[in-house]
Parts: sequence; C-alpha cells; structure tokens
Amino acid sequence: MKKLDALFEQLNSIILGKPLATKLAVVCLLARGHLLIEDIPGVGKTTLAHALAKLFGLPYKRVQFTSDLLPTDIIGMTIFDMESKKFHFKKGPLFTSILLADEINRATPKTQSALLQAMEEQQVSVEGRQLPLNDPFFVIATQNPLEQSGTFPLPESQLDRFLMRLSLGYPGDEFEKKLLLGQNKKNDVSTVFSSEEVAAMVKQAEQIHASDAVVGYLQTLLARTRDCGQFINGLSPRAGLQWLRAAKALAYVEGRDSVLPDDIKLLASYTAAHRLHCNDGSDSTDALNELLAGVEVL
Amino acid sequence: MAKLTNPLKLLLSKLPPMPSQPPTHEARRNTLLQLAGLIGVAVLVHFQIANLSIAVFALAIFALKTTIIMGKLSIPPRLVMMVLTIASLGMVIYVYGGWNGQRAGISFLILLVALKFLESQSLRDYYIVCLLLYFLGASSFLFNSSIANIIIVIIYTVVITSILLQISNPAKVSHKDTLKTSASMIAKALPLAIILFFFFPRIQANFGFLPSFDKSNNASSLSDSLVAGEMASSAFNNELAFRVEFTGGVVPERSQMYWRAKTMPVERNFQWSVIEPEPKDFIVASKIRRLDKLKAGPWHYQILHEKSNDKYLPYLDYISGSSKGLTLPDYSVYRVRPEAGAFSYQGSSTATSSSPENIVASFAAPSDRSSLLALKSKPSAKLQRLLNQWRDGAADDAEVVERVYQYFESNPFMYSLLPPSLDENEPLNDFIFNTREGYCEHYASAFTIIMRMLEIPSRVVVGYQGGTAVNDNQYIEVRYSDAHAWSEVWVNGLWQRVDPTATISPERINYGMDALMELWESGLLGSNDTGRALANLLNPTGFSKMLNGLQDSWKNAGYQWNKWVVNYDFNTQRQLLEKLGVEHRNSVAVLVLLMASGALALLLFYFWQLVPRNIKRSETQAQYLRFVKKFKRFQLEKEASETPKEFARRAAASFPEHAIEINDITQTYYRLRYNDRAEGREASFGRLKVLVKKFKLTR
Repeated sequence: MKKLDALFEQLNSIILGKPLATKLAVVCLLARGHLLIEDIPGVGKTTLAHALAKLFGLPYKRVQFTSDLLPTDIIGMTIFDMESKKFHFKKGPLFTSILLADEINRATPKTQSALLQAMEEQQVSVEGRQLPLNDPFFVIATQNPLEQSGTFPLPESQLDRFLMRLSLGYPGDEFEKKLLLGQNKKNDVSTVFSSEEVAAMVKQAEQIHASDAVVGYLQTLLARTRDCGQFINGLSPRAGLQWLRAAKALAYVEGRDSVLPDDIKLLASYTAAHRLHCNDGSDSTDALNELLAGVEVL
Repeated sequence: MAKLTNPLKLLLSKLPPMPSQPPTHEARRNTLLQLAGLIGVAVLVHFQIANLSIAVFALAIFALKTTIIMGKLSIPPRLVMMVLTIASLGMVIYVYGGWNGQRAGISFLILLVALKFLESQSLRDYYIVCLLLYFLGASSFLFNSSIANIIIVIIYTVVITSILLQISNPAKVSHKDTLKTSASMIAKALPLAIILFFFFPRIQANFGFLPSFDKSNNASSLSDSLVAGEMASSAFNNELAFRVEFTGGVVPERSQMYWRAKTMPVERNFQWSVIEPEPKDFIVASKIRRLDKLKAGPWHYQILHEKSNDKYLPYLDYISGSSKGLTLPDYSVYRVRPEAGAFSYQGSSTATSSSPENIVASFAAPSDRSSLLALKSKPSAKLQRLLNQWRDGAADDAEVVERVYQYFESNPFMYSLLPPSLDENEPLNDFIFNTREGYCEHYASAFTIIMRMLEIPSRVVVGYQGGTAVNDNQYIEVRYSDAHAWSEVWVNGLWQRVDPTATISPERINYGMDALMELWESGLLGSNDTGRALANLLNPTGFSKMLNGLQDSWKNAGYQWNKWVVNYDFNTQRQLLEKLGVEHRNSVAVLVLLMASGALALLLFYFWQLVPRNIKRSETQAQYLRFVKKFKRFQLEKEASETPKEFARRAAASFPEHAIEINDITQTYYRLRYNDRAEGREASFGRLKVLVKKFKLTR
C-alpha cells in the first residue's frame, strides 16, 4: 500500500490538481479495463498515459490516430524478408502493455474497430493466427470532443469496451501557475512497480469482497437504467460486471477489503455514463445522476 | 319407416353433442374421491332439510358414482341418466306437490348435484359440480343464519375451493398447499364481502323469484285462536319470538309491557279466534297510515322479529306508529306477505288509547256493537244470579267491570301452568265455580265472556307480556313463553285493558315469565315463601350472578348478530349510514358513492403500487436509522440516495464536535453491512448498538 501511495504522490506531482482523475486511471488499470479520456488537446492526456506506463514499469507505445491510419498500422503486418526468403510478422504498436491511442476519433471506423478484438480478448487474429497481447494490456484512448471537425464518433460497441471515460479538464489557477512555472516534475519519474507486482495487484483487487447489499444496490441501478425509459438502451451485463470490477479496484486502491456503495456511486458517471444515450439527446451524465438520486442507499 | 321403428335412437341423435373434452388433463382419482366425500357430507347435512326419500335417492346416486370412480368404470349410458333425471324430477313433484317452496328447491338442488356428479367425465363437468356445491352451501342460509352456520359454510367453501384448485391443476399438488391457497383466497375476499354486505345498496322490495316460504315450516307462532289450555303449553317453549330495543330513551314499566299481536273478537264455547281483515278494514288502515299524529307516543322501539309466518305483528299497546304492516282498527297490525326470514321494524306507542285528540281512539270505536257482544256461551242459572248481582245498582259500565274484577280478586282463583281440563258443555261455569285454576287464557276468556254477558263490548287480546331485559335494559327478549292473553273492554268511550291474570298472579305481570317459571319449578308458586324466593331470583348472588352475566353476554352476541347481520335490511342500512354521517336519500346516491369510492380505491391502489415498498430493514439497518433519526431534531435528514458516508460527512460538517462519533458509527455500520465476511460481527453489532445508544447530539 505504501507503494501505491508513492505512486500517487509521483503521479499527482506530474498531473497537478487532478487527484480523482489520476486515481481513477490507476483503478481502471488495476481493474483490467481500458480508459477513454475525452478532452480538448493539451490538458495532459498524453502525459498521464506516459506517466502511468513509466510508474508501473510497463512497456508503452503511442499511436497517433489520423484519418488515413490503417488497421495494419497498429496491429502490424507480414512482410517478406528478402534475406531469409521468408515471410515474417512485424508486430505493430499494439504489442505493448500500455497503448496510448491518441485522438482515436480521428481515425476511420475501420481502424477504430481494429482495436475491438484486442481490447476485449487481449489477442489479435492475424492471417488466421491468434496472437496474444501483453498482460496487462491497457488502452488509454483520448478523443477530442465530437464537435470538432474531422472526427468519427466511436461506435457504441467500442464505447462499451472502455471501462471508464474520464475528462481531465483545465487545471485550477493554483496548479496552472505551478505548471507554468515548471514546478511539475515531468521528467524525473521513477518506476514504482514491476510488471509482476502489477499482475499481483490486479489479482488482489479482484479478490476484494462485494457484499450482497452492495451487489443489490448495483443491481437496482442497472435495472433502473433499463426500465426508467430515459435511455435508448439500459446498461449491459458487461457494463455491470465492469462497474463492479472497477468498484473492487477502487476499494483496493483505497486500502479497503470490501466494496462500499460509495464506490459504486462514485464510479457511476465514469463507468456508466459513456455507455448510455438519452432518448432526447441530452447529457447522459445528468440523467444518470438523477437516476442515482432516486435510489435509496442504506 | 325404418326410422320410426327406433324412435328412441332418433331422439338420442337429436340431442346436442357431448361437451368436448379439454385437452389439458384429467381430474385425478384421489381428488374426485375427495369431491365425492364432500358431496356426501353436503347431502348428509341437508338431510335435515330434504325429505328422507330424496336424500336416500341422492345418496344412492352418489354411491354409484363413487363405485364408478373406485372401479375406474365408465359412466352409465345416457338413457339411464335420462331415466334417473326424470325419476328425480318426479320425486320432487310427488313429495312436495310442486316446485314452490324452499324445501322443494333445496331437494332438487341436491338431486342435481348428485346427478351432475354421476354424469361428470371431463374437467368442465367437475367444475360445474363444484359450482353447484357452492350454491348448496349458500342455500343453507335460508334455514339457518346463526354465527355457527356462517363458520361452517366458510370452512365448506374453503374445502370446495381447495378441491377446485386440485382439479384444475395438471400437476399433483399437496392438500396442504391447496387448502392454504384457498383459505388465503377466501380470507382476502372476506373483507370485500363484508364491505359490500354493509354498504352495497339494499333494495327495498320483495323478490318474486325467491322461493316462497314453506307452509309446513315449523317456526313457532301464536295461534290464531285461543283455546283454554293450549297457551299454557307454550309456557315451556323457550324459543325467542322477538327482541325489542327502546330507541326513544323511555322504557315502559314491565307491568305496562303488553305486546299486542292479535285481537280476537269471536267467541265460540270458551274459545276465541281472530277474523281475517276485510277490505273495509284495509281502507281504514290506509287512512290511519296517512295520519301524522300516529308518530306520537312516549315509547319508540325497534323490534327484531325472529322468523315467523304469522300475519300479525306484535306492537306495544297502544300503537301510535308503525313502520311495517297495516294498522287495523282493532290495533293489531297485519302484514299481507310474510318475509322468508327474520325481519325488523319500528314502532311507537302510548300508554292509553284515550284522549280526544287521539285519532286512534276514534278509528277504534266499535263500529258494530252487536258483534262485540255476540256470544255462543250461555250463562248458567248460578252465573246469571251473579251477573244480576254485578249489574244491580252499578252507576256505569266502569263500576260493573270493577265489580267483576273484584270478584276474581276476592275468590280463591289459582294461577297454574297445568290447569285441569274443563267441562266440555259448560266450561265457563266449571271454571268460575269448580276448578278455579287456570292460565292467563282462562282468565282472559272467562272475563271477556262475562263482560259480554253484562252487555259491555269486549274482546280478547293475545300477545306477549313483559320479556327479559338483557344487558341492563339495552334490549328486551320476548319469548314464546311470554305469550299472554288479556281482556279489553269498551268503557267510557275508549278501549281499556283489563288483565284478570294480574290479580290472580301479580308475579307474572310484575316480574315476568322467568320469575314465574322459577317459582313454578321450585313449587313455591302461590305459597307463603313466594316473596323470599322472588327476592333470591331477582337479586342473584355469587355463582348464579356470574352465570347470569355470561348468559347475558351470549345473548347480547346473538342479539347484535341478528340486528346487524341477519336482519340487516334497507332500514338498518339507512341507520348505519346515518350513523356514519351519510345522508341516505336514495340508493342511487349510495350506488354512485360506492362506485366513486371504488374508483378512488383503485386509483389509490395504483399509486400505492408506484410507491416503493417499505423494505424490511435488518437489525443493523434499524440501528443505523435510529442514529440518523437523532439528527432530525436539528433539521438534518439523510436523503434516501445519500450513502451513509456522504451523510456522515455532512453531519460531521454540521456537528464538528461529534465528528469522531459520527465517523465511528458510520465505520462500524459499514463494516457490519458491507463486509459480511468479516469476523466478530456480533461484537461489532453490540458496539454499534452501544454507540448509537450513547450518541447524543447537543448544540
């Protein structure tokens, strides 16, 4: 636990004034989920991804998505080696532990969907072969707000594969000043965990206990999203599973041995909001908060 | 021609096809045997109602069916069924002489059940049998509407419903389950049934289609004629005639409680009888009804009459208002059509028939003096001497009456419940001079005959005298043993009551029949110890007092049952609604009210379903809620969607000095509720309890 504290200390000294966002990013990683950061350019999305990779001691790659990016550009391709006179597969940037998919919504749906199988199954099929990816495999995708021109909105199926959607937002005055004065230590980041330790932490987080009471609360919320009539579709069972997994990881990060309804409630707008679409096109986060206010917790 | 050779076959081919068998499942043998058992019980219970031969016939059919079920045989051919049906119809007509009457109806119903059961093959048939059984259960109320019978019928209904559930269920279900289900179904239906019973608008009419009242009914009633020695036997008939509740607050003295039922103006050899009212009497009666002054009178009462087919209704003398029946010129009240069951009505009365304004007096004047003096009996020489003696020197009729009354008082006449029979040829002479022992009817009869011999218009009145006060005069029970006869004479321009029995046996009039019977049984009647025995009876001590109290409570339960359930009719419903503050103008208003409230109830039920159900809280939650409640005083309430932690944060912000306790309680609660794998839960719960208990908010 001390190590986790050290990790957060370093992380928060890089990403200033965003303790919740950094915590959730770590939670997302420990819950074996993928993270979608939705924000305007230049608020530190890439920095966060980079810092996480370094702190966890995981291999890190970055792909800048553009409209002409092809699936082979991320998965890799088979090329003919003239010297050995053999075809061999040249692994793309997907074969890493932390993949930063920058500005994911700039790529065409074809390329976006190339990420699908990788994200869900942690493996890719190349020419009939199943190639396993690294464990852990963690996608941090960033996207620009959809209003910006030249973007392709992510398909729903892909959105459902992201455990969380965060937005960093502008830093507060105080932190911006620090940032401008260069008081964040962006460069001297030291690795805190080995990849074995990360795997162990992921396992431990899964062991966190969720009581019947808390599962009941989660179930009520899931049921409400389905029958309240405000959303086009309610939450899927996968969404519920991921929500609970995230809650377990959150409890683990906070050093508890059981999930609290507070965890569920806190994670609602991060794990559920991006999967829900309001009937009337309004913001699903607001509708979700309204829904939360109508469910009793005791 | 070939067709004609077998007309029966032709007839059968024209019959409608057998009902198609639903493809679902067949009734199980076990269930059918149960149904058979129930039908057997129902038939046996109705034995007492139905004619024996019909019951035996029904049981024979029933036994046949049981054998069929047991032996898995096929049902008898249609021809046999037809013969049996025609035979049963013939039996009903033969035994009862037709369809009319409850007994004939019930007997037919029993036969129907047995025949339908015999014929049954498919599920649908058995459903019909069950339906008929329900009907049979309901029919028992025509004969008995006591509390005990209601309970029996409810149990019976539960059993039929259970069997119905068994039959309709394709899977094998245990009896316990179906009984439980049917009991719960009926328990749920009962409140609605009770509400509908009390509030569904009652219709103030006689239904033509209800089975008419049986002539052969053995309900007690007063005879239309007075024969010496007959009424005395009713002294031992303890059956209830009616109950009276005085509603105006004024209760007459017991010696004033003369309940007139029949006025008997016709004499024939020491016997008296009523005359059926003539059309002109009805004309007078309708005039009487229109007079407002009939409402006068210090005594107002409600009578709950037990089942009776007597056409004359008892009212307290002298009637000044009535809610049921036609008041005839002789003060008796006549109803054209007797009700099938118990019934109730109101009346008001005054102490005398007199006073010039009293219109009752004028209509009651003897229109035909000669008919009120007509006599079949002739006075003997000895009696004639006495008659002359009474007449001689008397200033007016009143004095003559007084002299005769004195005669009865001063001579050794005895009151007896078992009087000796009188000489057939000269009963009056025999009674006056020889036996001098008799029941009220002897005295009323003798006195009235003497009055007529003295040319004073007079008649015999038969009714009840007194009654038993129950529950501190809350109401009075009048039994057939309270039956009484007295005399009425036309003196000074109005009818006056003369009760010769009052002088012979004052106990009868002053203390009632109960006291008299007690004295009679202990052999103290007429002896010197009468006074002491009476005192003992009227002021009971110890055990007998407790026994009396118990008796009173039981009687009261029966009374309330009769008043509110058995006799619940249009009028009682109006009373109830008035008590509840509902202006009862007509039944349409009530119907509308009922429908509106029904709609409202449905609406409420709809919204009630939308409201989140009150979830059963665990002990831990209850403790936590106790803690939360303590903030209520300080306008700090936990919102439903707030987690305990969020609430704790808010509470600690408002009460920083309690922050540690608040957090402690919240942590402990969280540990108990959301970490149900943790050890030492009992200790934690104890700790939570203590913490919550000790937690006191101050500001």
